[in-house]
Amino acid sequence: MKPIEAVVVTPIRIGLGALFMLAAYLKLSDPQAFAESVKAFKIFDLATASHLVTLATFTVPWVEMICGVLLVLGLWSRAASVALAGLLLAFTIGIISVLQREIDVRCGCFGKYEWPCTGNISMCHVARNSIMLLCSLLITLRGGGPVALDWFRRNRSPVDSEPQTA
Amino acid sequence: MASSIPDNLFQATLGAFAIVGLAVTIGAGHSLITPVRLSADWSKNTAAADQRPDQPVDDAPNDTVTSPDQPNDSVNPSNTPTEQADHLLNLEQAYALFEMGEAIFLDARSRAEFDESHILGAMHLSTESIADGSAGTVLDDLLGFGTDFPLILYCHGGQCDASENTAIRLQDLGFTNIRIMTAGFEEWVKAGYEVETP
Repeated sequence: MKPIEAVVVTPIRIGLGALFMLAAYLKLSDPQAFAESVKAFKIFDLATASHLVTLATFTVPWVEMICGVLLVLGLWSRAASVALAGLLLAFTIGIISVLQREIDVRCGCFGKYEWPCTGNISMCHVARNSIMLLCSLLITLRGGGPVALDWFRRNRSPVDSEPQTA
Repeated sequence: MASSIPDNLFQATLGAFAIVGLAVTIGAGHSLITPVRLSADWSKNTAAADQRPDQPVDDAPNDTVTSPDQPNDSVNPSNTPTEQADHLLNLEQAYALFEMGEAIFLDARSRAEFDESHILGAMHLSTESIADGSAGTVLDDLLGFGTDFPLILYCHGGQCDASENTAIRLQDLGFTNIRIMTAGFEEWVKAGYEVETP
């Protein structure tokens, strides 16, 4: 990895990880509020698939939390970024679906901290998710960079771990 | 030897599935510890049983207001008493209670929308304000009236979930006499009923 790439990738990885840890914390601290957001998207029929709303309510924040921690530590960065990319893609499709159906829904993505996209769901949320998706894909392709547990794991010399011979 | 990009992507995808699997497992356990409510429990609501018999129907501006002896056809066309319909009010029924002053109107829309305009005398109470603690004063006021005082929630009507979501929170706090105006604020304005614009 070139030095310039390392300088770009490392802060993106740590920043993205921290952002998703915050998002997960806000959702897990008030699952009822996130359940309301999931319900408001009207993707699942409450009469027949309420269990899917509950599953999404608790699975999404835990995916975010696990991926966030892994990205901040730089451990399994590519796997974490692939999982986040999948999540962001699903969010974006959901948001576009809401926009097409013209439903007034608040995102609930970052609790009450909805910067820079305030108010109901709009194209701003699509743009925000697209930027985060690009960041995830960058980490998927380039790895977590230095200052990451992955990097130390990969670059640990086999000689170091073997007993030295005289 | 360095791995190729397809190899890395394949491994990363497998790792991603492992992460999602772990999250599903933890999430399932979490849902058992902290259950969420997706709809309000109207079976414990006393609105239909206790409130409507006291309503003087003659004072109502519209004869669609429910009386104890006359089931409400507009809400429940089959004339079959259901728990589901008892807590729902149409525009005329809500206005009748508004005129009688026998209920508190609660605006479940966003704070900004409430500040712009709301039903005369309504208080703002949304799920967000309850969750972040900023609704403390309003809740204290409501508790002062008693948990069985009639409360009418409204939002935009139609596909708006805010009223029911707020009702869930109020039920969790012990309120038992909650109803939802299905028409929404926009229809209230369109009907020319009283609004308050600061």
